[in-house]
Amino acid sequence: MPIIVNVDIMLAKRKMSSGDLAQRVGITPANLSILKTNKAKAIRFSTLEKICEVLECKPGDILDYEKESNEDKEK
Amino acid sequence: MKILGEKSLSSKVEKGLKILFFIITLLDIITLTFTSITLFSEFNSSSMRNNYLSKIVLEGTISCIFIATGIVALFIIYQFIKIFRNLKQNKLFEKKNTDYLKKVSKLSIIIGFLYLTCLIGISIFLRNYNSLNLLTDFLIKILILVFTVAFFIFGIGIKILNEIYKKAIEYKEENDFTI
Repeated sequence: MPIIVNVDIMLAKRKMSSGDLAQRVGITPANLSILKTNKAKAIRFSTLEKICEVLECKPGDILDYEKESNEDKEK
Repeated sequence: MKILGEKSLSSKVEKGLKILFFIITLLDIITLTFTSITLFSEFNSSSMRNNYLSKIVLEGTISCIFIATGIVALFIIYQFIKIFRNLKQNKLFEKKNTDYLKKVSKLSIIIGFLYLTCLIGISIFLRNYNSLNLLTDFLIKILILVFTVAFFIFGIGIKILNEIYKKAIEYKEENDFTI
């Protein structure tokens, strides 16, 4: 998927642990792991809003777009 | 009544299919033995006349096709046993289930073709060797034609349902990975 989730970077910037973020956002650590490893298919606006609220950032700081190469598309 | 899970309709159907599998295997073995014995005795008693020999060959071919449909049906039942085993274990949206259904659809169409061949064989047999009467001949042919069409429709129907099932698995996956 060409959408990259950069939660890791923001967590490092805010010096926050994944468990802490999961607890404060109200999602399970397993779901946060799915998000961090780019396995997520979609993200609800409500979840995105909470993540932005906790990490004090904008959606653009968490989400990034990278054009997919032809090899990746074939996968 | 519970449809899915342990001690449900699925588990009962699975048991029923296992019994059916055993019965069809038994019937196939009995038919194969009986046909072989009959054809060999007919072959030995015949005075090797060309006409009689071709009759035995045709009879043998038709019997073999019927037995083959039984064997293919066993594979279909085996796939259904595996599907119902998954349903019993509450594994509804498994990709393996779509593979099993795909095999069922292909095997049903194969049975359809086997019955079609059988219909042609029986038509030749009834016309050349053993015509009973016009109505009985017609009914036999219609019966086999119904089986042929039924299996073709069943195969195509399962193929369409399988596509719907695949879509459902896709949507479920998407839902599971929505955070």
